[in-house]
Amino acid sequence: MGEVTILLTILGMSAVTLLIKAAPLAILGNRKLPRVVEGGLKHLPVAVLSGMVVQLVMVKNGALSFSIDDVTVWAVFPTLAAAALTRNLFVTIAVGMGFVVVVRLVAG
Amino acid sequence: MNQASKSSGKLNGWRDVARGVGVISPVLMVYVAIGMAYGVLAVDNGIPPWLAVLMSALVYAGTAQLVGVQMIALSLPALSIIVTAAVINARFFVMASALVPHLRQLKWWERTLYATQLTDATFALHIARLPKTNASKTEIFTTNIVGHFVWVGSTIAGVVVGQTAGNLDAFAIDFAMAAMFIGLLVPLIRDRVQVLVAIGAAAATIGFQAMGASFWTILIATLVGLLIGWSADRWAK
Repeated sequence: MGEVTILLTILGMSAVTLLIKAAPLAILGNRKLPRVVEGGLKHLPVAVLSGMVVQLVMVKNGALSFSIDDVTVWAVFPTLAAAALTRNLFVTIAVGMGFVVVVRLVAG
Repeated sequence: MNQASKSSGKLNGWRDVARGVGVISPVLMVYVAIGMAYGVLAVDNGIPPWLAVLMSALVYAGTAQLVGVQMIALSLPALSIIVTAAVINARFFVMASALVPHLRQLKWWERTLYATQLTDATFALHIARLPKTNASKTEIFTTNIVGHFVWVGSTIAGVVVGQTAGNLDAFAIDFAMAAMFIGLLVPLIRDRVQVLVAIGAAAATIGFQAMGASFWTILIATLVGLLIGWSADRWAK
């Protein structure tokens, strides 16, 4: 792919992304959302984060995969424990990534 | 009097900057890891370095960028790459909608600026923080700007490392984003309904991925989670 085509593709990607991100904030602005919508959106952070964790851990190269040999699957458990015990984002990330690094070093 | 309030205003300004940095700081190591990994992947896939960095500055959405450079490397049609980015990023439409009630103090152009720097992490951080504190504009935008700069800076680092044949596989980069999302997610779960929502969305992700929903999976699973939460709330009442 030529440089100009790549540039145009990137500009297109950023245009649609910005449109998606900005539309609700620019259009809805100060208007009040319907109560039903607001009630549903209350659960958005939990729903979207939970889904993305599962996708990151269980989808590899676009396909559902679950392997006992995959250290990132096991790493979910100490990371969840660290998050529940400390409720500290920094500690949670450090425990999760630390676990994966250590297991890979030990397992070679 | 006037001068005193002015100087205390200045102090408040710096305190808000410090707070803004404090809010984003835990996720910065993940931004560095993923930003560098993206930069390496981009140049390895033959994307010119300056365009890889430009994508980080303009698109600023990790998953869409990682998928995007791989599709560009395969020389797929530009339109299909752009549509894929839109599908992957569709979740941000829901996130931005959820932030609307908490960003009322911003003018429309400030909200638009906010939108250009909206990410999964800043959404999760702000949706937890803004309803509880009256965070100032300075704090909010400091958080966003620092995140954006670190993302672009890490991409530049990755582009440089990638060209000099670095290998980042040994680190835990493939788990960095998951660890960050777990750390953002768990403190948000406070009652049984939210446990149900988390499990429901997780199960829906597996189900729809298995059914071939591909890049649509997250949006659909999220909506399933919202529906579960909304129904459970009504039933509990």
